[in-house]
Amino acid sequence: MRAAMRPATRPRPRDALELAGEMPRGRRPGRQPQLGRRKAMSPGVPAEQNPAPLARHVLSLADSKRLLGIRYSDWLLGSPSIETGIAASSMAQDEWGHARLLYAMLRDFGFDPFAVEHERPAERYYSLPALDCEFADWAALTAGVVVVDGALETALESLGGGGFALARSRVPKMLAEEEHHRHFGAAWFRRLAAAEGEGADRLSAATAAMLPSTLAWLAPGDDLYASLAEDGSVWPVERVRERYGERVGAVLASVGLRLDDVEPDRARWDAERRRGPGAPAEDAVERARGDRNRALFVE
Amino acid sequence: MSAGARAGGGGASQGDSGGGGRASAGGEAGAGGAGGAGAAASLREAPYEVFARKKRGDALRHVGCVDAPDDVLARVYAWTTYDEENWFEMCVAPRSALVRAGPASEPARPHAGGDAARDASPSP
Repeated sequence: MRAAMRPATRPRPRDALELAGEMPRGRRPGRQPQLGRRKAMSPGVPAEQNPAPLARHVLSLADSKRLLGIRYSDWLLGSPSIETGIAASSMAQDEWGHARLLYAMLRDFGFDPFAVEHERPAERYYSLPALDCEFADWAALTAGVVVVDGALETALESLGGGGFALARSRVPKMLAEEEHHRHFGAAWFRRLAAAEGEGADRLSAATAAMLPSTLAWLAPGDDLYASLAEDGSVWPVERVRERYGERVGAVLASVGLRLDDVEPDRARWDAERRRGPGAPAEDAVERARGDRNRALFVE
Repeated sequence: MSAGARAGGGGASQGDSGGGGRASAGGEAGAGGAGGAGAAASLREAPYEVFARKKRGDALRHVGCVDAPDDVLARVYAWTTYDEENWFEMCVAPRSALVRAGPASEPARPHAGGDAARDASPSP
């Protein structure tokens, strides 16, 4: 990465995309909102292909990984041991690295990755609802590693196995890094479940709370996702759900939960943002955007 | 975190490691207490030594240690703690499984837990 100061007078796109929305007044940084300027289609995208659903899919993955990284980073200190804090740090950095790669893919769809990363208000984030607020305790973090990270890994595998060339080349490395997250989550989940008592109760409650909205995100069942599955960009919802079951089913069973018993929460579903109502907490979005370091951005 | 920082710091031992005995994978050990989750449960962890080689054919060398409740987490902790190199191979071994040899060696002592005990324990 070139470590050059970003000029304050960086050329601004003229037309804001609907992806962007407006930054809330009073929080506006030095530059005006200009999220995701639509540019001429890159040569790699066939003219007859409408990239919008796939761009939304990639954005939702990127936003969720960015928020998950923040949620992991909340536990760098105060986790059960130094080793767990370091593991949380490592996973946070993995997630941010993956998010960065995913945001960069949006360039293929004519979006400005910098603007998408750094200039959207919270209500324009497409992230998983389970990441809106911090993980309340270590049991919730453990549930998040299994339920949310597991869903992201499954969605990533689906994207990497589809027809999007950029994803096919970049996703395998991400999946290799995710392997450690999966082992970490499963080991801690079983450990807490086996301990019984308050830890197991909290784990079970946090898991049950995250699953419905996460399942809805993972297998949306709406027209936007169906179009992606039809053109081979991602797996069909049935295959995604089956893979997710293979990945987390046995772990969830340690607290007596079965995926088949969980009803996806699609109340007031917003297909555009691939989620129900709500938004990530403002402080997390400020960190995700890097508001405090805006004058120091490098590229 | 660098290997030097982690190895030099010794790491945080969480309670009595029980003489280096390992909990079975899947959780004989108790829950973590952060945030109140499982505050009453114990944290039984044991020290693991971490070894790695940079390239195929290189000697496997000692790079540090971690405390973990089982082999699975020991492997994860080792990888996330000592990831400053692009290792070709990394291995972990419970300290209790190491057999000392050589004329200067003393009979193996069970790990007493805590940084002082870790620091006093020679690397293999």
